[in-house]
Amino acid sequence: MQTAHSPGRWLFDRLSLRKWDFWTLVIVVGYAFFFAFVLYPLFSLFISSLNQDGKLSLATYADFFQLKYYRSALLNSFQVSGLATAFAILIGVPMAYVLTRYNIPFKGLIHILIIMSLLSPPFIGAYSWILMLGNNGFITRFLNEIGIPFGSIYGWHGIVFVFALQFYPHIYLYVSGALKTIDTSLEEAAESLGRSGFMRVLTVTLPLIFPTLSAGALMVFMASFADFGTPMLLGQGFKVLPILAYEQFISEMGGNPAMASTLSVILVVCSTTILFLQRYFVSRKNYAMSGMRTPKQIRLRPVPRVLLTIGAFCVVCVSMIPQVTVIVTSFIKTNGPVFHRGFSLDSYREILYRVPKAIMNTYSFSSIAIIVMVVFGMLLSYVLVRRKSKWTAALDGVIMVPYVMPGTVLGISLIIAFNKPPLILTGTWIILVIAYIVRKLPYTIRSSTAILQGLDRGVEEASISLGVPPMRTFFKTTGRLMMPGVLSGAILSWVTTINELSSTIVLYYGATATISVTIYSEVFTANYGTGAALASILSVSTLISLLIATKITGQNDLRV
Amino acid sequence: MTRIVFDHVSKYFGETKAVNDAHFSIEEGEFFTLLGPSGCGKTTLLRTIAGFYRQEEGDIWFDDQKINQVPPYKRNIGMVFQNYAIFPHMTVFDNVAYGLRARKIAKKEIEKRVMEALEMVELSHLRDRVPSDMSGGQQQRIALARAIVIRPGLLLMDEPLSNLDAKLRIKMRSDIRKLQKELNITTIYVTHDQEEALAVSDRIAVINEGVVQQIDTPQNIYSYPKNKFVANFIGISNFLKCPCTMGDPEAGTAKIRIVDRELAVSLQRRYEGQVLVSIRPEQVGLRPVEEHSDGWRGVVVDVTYLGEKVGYQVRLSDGSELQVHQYAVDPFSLYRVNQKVNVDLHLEKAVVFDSEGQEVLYRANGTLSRKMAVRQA
Repeated sequence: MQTAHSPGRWLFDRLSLRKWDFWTLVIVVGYAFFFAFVLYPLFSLFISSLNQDGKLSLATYADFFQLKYYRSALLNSFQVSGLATAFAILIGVPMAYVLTRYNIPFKGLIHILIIMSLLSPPFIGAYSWILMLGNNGFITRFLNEIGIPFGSIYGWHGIVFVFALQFYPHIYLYVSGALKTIDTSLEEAAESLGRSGFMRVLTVTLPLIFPTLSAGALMVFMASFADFGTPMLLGQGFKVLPILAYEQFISEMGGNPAMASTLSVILVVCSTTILFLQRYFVSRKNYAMSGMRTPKQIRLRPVPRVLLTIGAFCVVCVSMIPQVTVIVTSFIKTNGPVFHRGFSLDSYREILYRVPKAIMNTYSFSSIAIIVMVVFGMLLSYVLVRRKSKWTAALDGVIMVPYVMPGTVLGISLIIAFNKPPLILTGTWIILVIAYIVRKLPYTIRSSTAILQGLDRGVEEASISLGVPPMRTFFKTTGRLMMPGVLSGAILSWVTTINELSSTIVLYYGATATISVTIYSEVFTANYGTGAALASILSVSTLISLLIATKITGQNDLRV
Repeated sequence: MTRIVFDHVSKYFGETKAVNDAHFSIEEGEFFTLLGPSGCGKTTLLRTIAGFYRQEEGDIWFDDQKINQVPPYKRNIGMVFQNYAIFPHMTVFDNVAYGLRARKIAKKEIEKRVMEALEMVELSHLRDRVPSDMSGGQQQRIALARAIVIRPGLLLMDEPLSNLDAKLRIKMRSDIRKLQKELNITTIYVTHDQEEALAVSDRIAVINEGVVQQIDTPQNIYSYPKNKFVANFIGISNFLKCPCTMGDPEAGTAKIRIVDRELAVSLQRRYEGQVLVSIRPEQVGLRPVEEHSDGWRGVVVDVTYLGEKVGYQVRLSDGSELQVHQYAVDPFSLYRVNQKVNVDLHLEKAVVFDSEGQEVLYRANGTLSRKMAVRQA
């Protein structure tokens, strides 16, 4: 046996150890994608915000902080998002507690309905609340007829109402997850020390779930802060930032791209700040729990059981009313904004005749986006979890960026980046698909990462040691095992993609219109019947997809 | 059947040397155990052999092939993982057939070899079951069958029994040992359980902080530990700190004072200062105190009844304490706490280390033991 320790050979060994393989390619493609479609557009957006007639200028920023019109939009945004978050917590936490800890009947049904109301797009909620509580809504009319003075749902309180009902499921899902895995011995300890009932919840349970609760609250806040459709439909003069950005960009009387970009940059800065604040507070309160003893369900006596069940159903029903309203409305005879007596399929006939392209577009665009997302998301998450290096850590950070980009902002930034050479994509369907991928890929990656972390690494090593090369090993073992979780996550992403409005409305043109933008324009031109028919198609698609996803996971723990 | 040679192999994690200059060989058909506390580098070394880690320095040879550059899937190694790593989406049969299919072996041959392997581990009746609802012991057997069915040149086992309960562990380890001898596969076995290592191995390498402390047969490791770490890690040892002075320069002996007695010992080299006399608990005898008995005097401090044997903690007159194990022949007449006893140290089975416990100054073997004459001080 001989040894040859020459520096040259050592170097050779080191280099060949780091030799390029398939996974290196995945990392490179990942970087290329996020640079091209996230960082470059963001950068273009920033440059555009400083560009005043070809000169570098901070004028639009100065305007923003000096003109009340803009400033108040920022305050409005914070006001509705903050209030919506507070109400969502007030609804979501008790719902989660009651449904995880007590033996409430029909839990599965309630759970599915809650997810259902989360997945349907907020602007459909807003729209059907207009049908009920608008100036000419049937409930408004009814209330006025019996002599109860009621204005309408328009204005900021309406927006908060719709947001809270729409987004409390985020809180519910996060908190019930935490409540299920909490270590009960901590609660038992509190009880043995003389704290019981409500005080125990207040002093032990709630503080323990605080990190999770705050993550859910962040989701609610971000979603409310970024939402475009609801304030657009319900605002009527009450402006929030995404609307202002959209109006400045698309304005018929010559838009102001610099101002639109400035507003977008400010939106991104605000979301980022909120995100980091949440991270900061949570980082100081992170309780690792072994969860050895998970909580048991408490059997309630009949009276409280019935009362709590009724309460839970009330919440779910109120949040489901929009869906029902939309579906019922879609079958009512209409003539523009006027509803007639009797049922008919006219609305459906009309949409099939007038906007078949939009329906096709919706399903084809989101299907393409989803396929790319699943493949890309699985491969990228694998790299992030199993090939840890400083490169993948940085990629992990870059992947987070779309979280803080409201749909409107993403749309504007993609247009600014790709309406000029080297790459012109505006007016194509590709830019829509890219927008969908960028928006949802982070979620796909997050859920795949979570699945991957739960898989035993040894399985892959076992396969390799048995003579199967790493690439084939991945597809034979880990890839296969990840599939159900990834698929159900993908279906949920698909659902939110078919319902996507805020970036589509910036990026579409006539031929690439989707169902969601068509609904939006139908509602604005007061074609309530056709709008409802289109919305019903989305609702039914959502419901079917949700049922399929539940079937695949085989249980009720969907990752949204 | 492969012979493995480690030629000055080192593996770093950042600045720390997880494996520090491993330099030894494993013979064909040998059952070789890497033994050490958790974090000592034994699993790192195993994974380096498997090819999941790459050493920074040194070479590893399988027979006359240097395998530094060979990727893990071409090393023809059977590996059994601590958590079994059974493919949860395949039946028992498919799990075992996996490696054979990767080798493109004919279907009939696969069927035959898989069933042979399953029979060896007594699982042939479960061939079509899905492993997820099977017990830990059964999963362990699947993992074993899957590793041996490919007729590997080398079998690696990473703490394969640590997730099983005590009784099953003892049965499995003798099964593994029997199977290994039957198939005559060179096997490297990682464990932190010294009893398991003594039970199954042809030879053991004791590792601490990345450094191989001693490689030897179980009997030699136990009887002649090379340093304090080995003496302490394998079984239990009592260490008595004793002063050592120059004895008879002509005879080349030194004088070691154990409590109140002085012994003349011929050490490996000239040494003065403190020494550690290491003696196993079962090499200490206790007797009721008699008037004119020789030996040391002590007091029983603690009694632990363990069923077939009894453990005593005994304090000698200078305050140092000894662990003593005796068979509990009559469990109803044990020594009591505070009872005075006569202590016999069977010094012909003792080992003497330097004060740091790093060097053997004296150890008894057939000839040396007679030279350790005990005299009244």
